[in-house]
Amino acid sequence: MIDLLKIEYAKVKNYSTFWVILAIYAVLVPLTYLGSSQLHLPFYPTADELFSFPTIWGFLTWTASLWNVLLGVLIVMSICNDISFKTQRQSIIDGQSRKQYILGKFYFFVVFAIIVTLYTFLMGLIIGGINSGFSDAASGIEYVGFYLIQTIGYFALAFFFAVLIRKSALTIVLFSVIIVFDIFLSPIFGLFMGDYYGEMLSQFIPTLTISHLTPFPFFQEMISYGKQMNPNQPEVYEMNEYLRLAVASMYVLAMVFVGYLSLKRRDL
Amino acid sequence: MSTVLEIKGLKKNYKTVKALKDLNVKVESGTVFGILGPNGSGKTTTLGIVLGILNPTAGSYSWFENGQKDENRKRIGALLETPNFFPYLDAVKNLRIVAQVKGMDKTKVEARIEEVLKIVNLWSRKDNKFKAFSLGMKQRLAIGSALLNDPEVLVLDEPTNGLDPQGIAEIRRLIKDIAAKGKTIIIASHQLDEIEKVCTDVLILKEGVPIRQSKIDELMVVKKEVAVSADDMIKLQSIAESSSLITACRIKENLAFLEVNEEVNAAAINKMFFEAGLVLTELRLSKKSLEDQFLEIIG
Repeated sequence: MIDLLKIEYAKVKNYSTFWVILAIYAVLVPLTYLGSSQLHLPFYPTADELFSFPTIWGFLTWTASLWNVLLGVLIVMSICNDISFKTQRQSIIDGQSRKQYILGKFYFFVVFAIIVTLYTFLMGLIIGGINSGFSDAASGIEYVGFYLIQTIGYFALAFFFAVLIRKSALTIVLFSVIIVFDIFLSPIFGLFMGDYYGEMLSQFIPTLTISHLTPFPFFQEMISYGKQMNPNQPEVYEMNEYLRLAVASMYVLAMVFVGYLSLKRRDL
Repeated sequence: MSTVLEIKGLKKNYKTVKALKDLNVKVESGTVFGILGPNGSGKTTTLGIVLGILNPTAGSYSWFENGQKDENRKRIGALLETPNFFPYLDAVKNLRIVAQVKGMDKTKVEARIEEVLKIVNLWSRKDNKFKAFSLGMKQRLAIGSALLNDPEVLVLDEPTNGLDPQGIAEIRRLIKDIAAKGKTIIIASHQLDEIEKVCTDVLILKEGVPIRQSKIDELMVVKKEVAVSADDMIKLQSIAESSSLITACRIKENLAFLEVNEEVNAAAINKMFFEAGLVLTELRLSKKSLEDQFLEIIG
């Protein structure tokens, strides 16, 4: 495992595009969070709350997840570069098995997701600690765990599309379109099967299962507020968080496995 | 002598083409084995399959009498079609990745990289990025990379493709040096003189079918040929075909090319036709070149 990781690291170590995009991400997350504190929306927390425990965990991970598409692009590049430079082919010729190649990418994106999550976690810990002390730091910290699985999920999606499509531009476009198009899935399903079941079905669509891991943080508040105003408001299906975690993890494994099967059968 | 590679009943169909139709080959250790054939004859397909990047439609192969295991390829150095490296990395960093993939002993990697870069004459360019290399340098780096793990077998597909005459000569000298060390080398080429200059054994492929497999000296036996002509070419042919002096006859326009044994001379041929009642209008001795033979074989 360590050997496979070292190979993947050697490939990105001197690849400047990788580090530039990573830097853009690293700057955008805190900037976006800072900017969001000045939004005056109904239900939206004040700047004080945003920068304090426990609110910070839910909101920071949600904000960070908005930029995960950028990181997904890095995963797409790491695979599509190997294909266009034919270095994937060469690695197989040099004695790597297709399984090892896929495992190398899998380990790489999992470790990368852990590093990204650590970055967000430290950012939250520092900002929250400065503003509110550490007494409430553990409350809501499960969002960091959800964020990790979500990031792994996005990377698995990027990996999956890259391995199947093999062309970086097309993969990046499709990956982005699918993630943006997500929000329309539930209304479209709703049209055919009613709001409740439409929403239920949509939450089992892999991209939505993954993106809902860090939901719009005041979604629940909005629903309960709506209920107070109008007790006849229909129920909205919301998947249990831990069920979602299990379903998302299953999708990750399934995508890696199908990616492997696809590579195994392919002529390079 | 042990068997390095054995191919049994190998077939490969692409969507519309049958690229390989039932190939059986045995490569013994220590030979320089040439696979000769025109473009599209199945050379690269064959090498692609045994190097694990193409899935065969049928048949099997075995490296080192050890089956189709991925591990086997770590003992092989291969250059298939184009040199494949990361354009944004320099020669040394690219070779380090290859060493990692090959699972080489880490303590020996740096020294070995220096060694192979010197062999392929790229040591002075070790810090240059791959994308800045000329085609010949890229090709040499690929050969250096193939040599990196001190492989037991070297597989080279069109190794001199796109090189200038000096580069071609260098690569050929390199191949001979490596062969002299007792390594097995498998070379695919559409250039007859390339195979002729370096190989000990040859397999000729045409449209996915093996036409002939032999020692190169057997193929290289230059046949003596007599070109004759007469007013009645039909009669000439029937006499030629029934004569014991002539081993093969081939008519091209108004000339018949007769393959004869070494001891037969022009006078004997002339006498034989005259006695059979045909006067030759033309008679000359020629030696059949290897190229003619090759074209005839694949023709």
